[in-house]
Amino acid sequence: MGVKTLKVYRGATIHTMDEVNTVISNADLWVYDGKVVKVGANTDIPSDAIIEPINGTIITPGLIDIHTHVGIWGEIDEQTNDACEYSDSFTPLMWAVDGININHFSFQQARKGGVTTVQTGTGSANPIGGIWSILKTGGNSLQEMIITEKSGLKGALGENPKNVFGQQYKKTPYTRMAVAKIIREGFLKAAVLSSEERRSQIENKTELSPFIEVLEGKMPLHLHAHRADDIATAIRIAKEFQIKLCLEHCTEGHLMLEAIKESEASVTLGPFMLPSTKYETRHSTPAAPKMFHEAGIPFAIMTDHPFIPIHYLILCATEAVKYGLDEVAALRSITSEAAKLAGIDERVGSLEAGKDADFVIWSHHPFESRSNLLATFINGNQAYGKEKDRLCNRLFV
Amino acid sequence: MTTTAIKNAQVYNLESGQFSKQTVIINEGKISSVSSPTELLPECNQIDATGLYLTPGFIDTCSQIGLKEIGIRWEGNDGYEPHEENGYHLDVVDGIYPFDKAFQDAVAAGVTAAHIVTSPEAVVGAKTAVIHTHGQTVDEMILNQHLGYSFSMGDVPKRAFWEKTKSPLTRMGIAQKIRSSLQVLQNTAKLQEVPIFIRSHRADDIVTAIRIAEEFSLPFILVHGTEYPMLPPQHHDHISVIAGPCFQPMERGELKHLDPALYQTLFEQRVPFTFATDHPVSSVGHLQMEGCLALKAGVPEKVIMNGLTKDAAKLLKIDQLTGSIQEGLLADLVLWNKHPLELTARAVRTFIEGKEVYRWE
Repeated sequence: MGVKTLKVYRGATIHTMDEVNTVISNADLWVYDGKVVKVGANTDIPSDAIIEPINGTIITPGLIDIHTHVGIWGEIDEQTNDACEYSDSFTPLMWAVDGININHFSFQQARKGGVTTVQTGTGSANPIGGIWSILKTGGNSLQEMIITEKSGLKGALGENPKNVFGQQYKKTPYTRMAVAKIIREGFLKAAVLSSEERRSQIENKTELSPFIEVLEGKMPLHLHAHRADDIATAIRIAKEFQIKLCLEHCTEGHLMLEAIKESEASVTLGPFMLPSTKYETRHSTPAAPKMFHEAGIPFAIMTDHPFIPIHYLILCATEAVKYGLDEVAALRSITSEAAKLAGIDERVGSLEAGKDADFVIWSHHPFESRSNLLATFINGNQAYGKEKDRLCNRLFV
Repeated sequence: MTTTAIKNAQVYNLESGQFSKQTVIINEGKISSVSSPTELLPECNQIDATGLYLTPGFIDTCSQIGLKEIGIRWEGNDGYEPHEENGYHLDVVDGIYPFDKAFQDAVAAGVTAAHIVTSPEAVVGAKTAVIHTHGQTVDEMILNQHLGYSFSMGDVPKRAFWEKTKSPLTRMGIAQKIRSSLQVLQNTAKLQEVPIFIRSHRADDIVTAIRIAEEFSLPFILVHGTEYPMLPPQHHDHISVIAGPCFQPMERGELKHLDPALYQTLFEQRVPFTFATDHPVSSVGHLQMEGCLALKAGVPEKVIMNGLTKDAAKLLKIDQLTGSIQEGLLADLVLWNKHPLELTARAVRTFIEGKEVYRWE
């Protein structure tokens, strides 16, 4: 929990990322009990407050990466890879919370990179993979870190399920048609249940229960889709069952912007900084965020950690700027917009009174080469950074 | 005679590390003069580069571009020959596909030359080559056809060997394979003049590589060097490092300590180093970003700029041809819209031997 003393971080330029993207220079950021109390310039600071002078720095909200496998992929130590349950192509009951290791070093990497919130869980081998969660990247227990325990049912279309099951295991699905069939199956069965039956399925935590929750709008369906035809299939399925869809990766989305806009699906873009080692990502481009922005489609930029290491989330947004995306839109895509798309904007994504005190102190604007991350705060607690004295010495040099 | 003048650009000077306004004249694919902006121009095509920065083309000092094509799997992968134990009989130029889409990414990112090295799977890899990143046949792209010999240590060759033979290969076994290859090569090639490149990440592998090179009294070039900062600082006369790429997934144990602080350590310890993407490990498009990461880590601008250009050319023995903006050298040049070590800077126009091979529309 946050510190029960009012702390005022004084002198930075704050990119609040509020509704109108207010930037306040020489600002005061008031933090009490883990929450932001006030953001403004020349505020009247109570005499019992602790003032932290951080003149000349830049503050942004803690970054949000809404598509990762933090704590669960077990990169480096493959013995602990718990990201895909390969034993079956249909595994709707695989819960991220049962697989996340909060002591995995990827959480440290996230904090080092200013990422304070992640959505994480199963990977993309299974047409129906499991249930994702959204959590803070710092805290004493998994329970304390969770923001949204069930943030969506995750599935995948295209090359990955075809490759893992069809090619390697010689099982279904071998074709894109079979992938779609497996995804539909759960919804078809759940859609015909009476409300009584639905309640019983949920109570018994059956395989149909996640589908019921998606059908009832309690969580979205996240579908991994790179190729244009897979994106169209995802949209078709969502339409058939009137469910909320999140298009994950959406690599060829820039080739079919109208269809995506019309579908009202939410969109995550990335990891467009990887070379296209797969055939289905051959049209991947860092110019996609710009095109989505110009088409008026909200999106979040993501790393798909470990595929782009999570501490480089900021570089992913910067790359989009390099390819023409407006700077504010780029920063929004990893803060306030990401929070909105993930349904957690009541708590995080911007620095406004009442929100969680998740913020990052940078030496320069984070899109500049010379920018270094000086400190990361989660719920008002310093989660990464040099100790205060060194921090200040650096700042005043 | 085709003559082109690039005028009003901020031109990079490798001695001072500064940019200043100069006019660069290109004639028949070469730089014919670098002069003050006030000098009268001959009659020729003129490119007004006001507001732009002009640098030599960047050089990727370890890459598999064209050898391991992007977007496809085995059909486009010619980076590793599992059944050839003595890879030095092979030649990378026989595997390069000039229409790999990644070549377009290269020129769009200001990369005009690359050193092609076989995949890390091969303990003893093919003869390496240096090529331009544009052309219709590899022959016209070649800058240095037989640069050196490449070797690889650590978990990647271990796994590749296991997959092929179902018998383990130890680090001792790898060292032995490298030693026996060098013994053979010593009899046929002048190894003092033909550089050897050794891929290794882990500190113990780096030390083994140094030990082997000392046994043979050979200078060698360490590729990757991920855990170099973990070695006690000690001056090694005959080492230079093709460092990184730092921007890549850290999925294997050997990459656990990968961090751009590597560049800062090499700089502090005065170890000569250059940059690489090892494309497609990182994309060739991110060579400039490796430079930005070095800047973030505290390496001076000039060291980085020269590491991306002149020092890279020197290491690859092509500095008499390219790598600096100097009279008589090939006109391998890039115009940037911002200082090239800005993260958001983009190549606006790229020239190889004076021919425009990329323009940002």
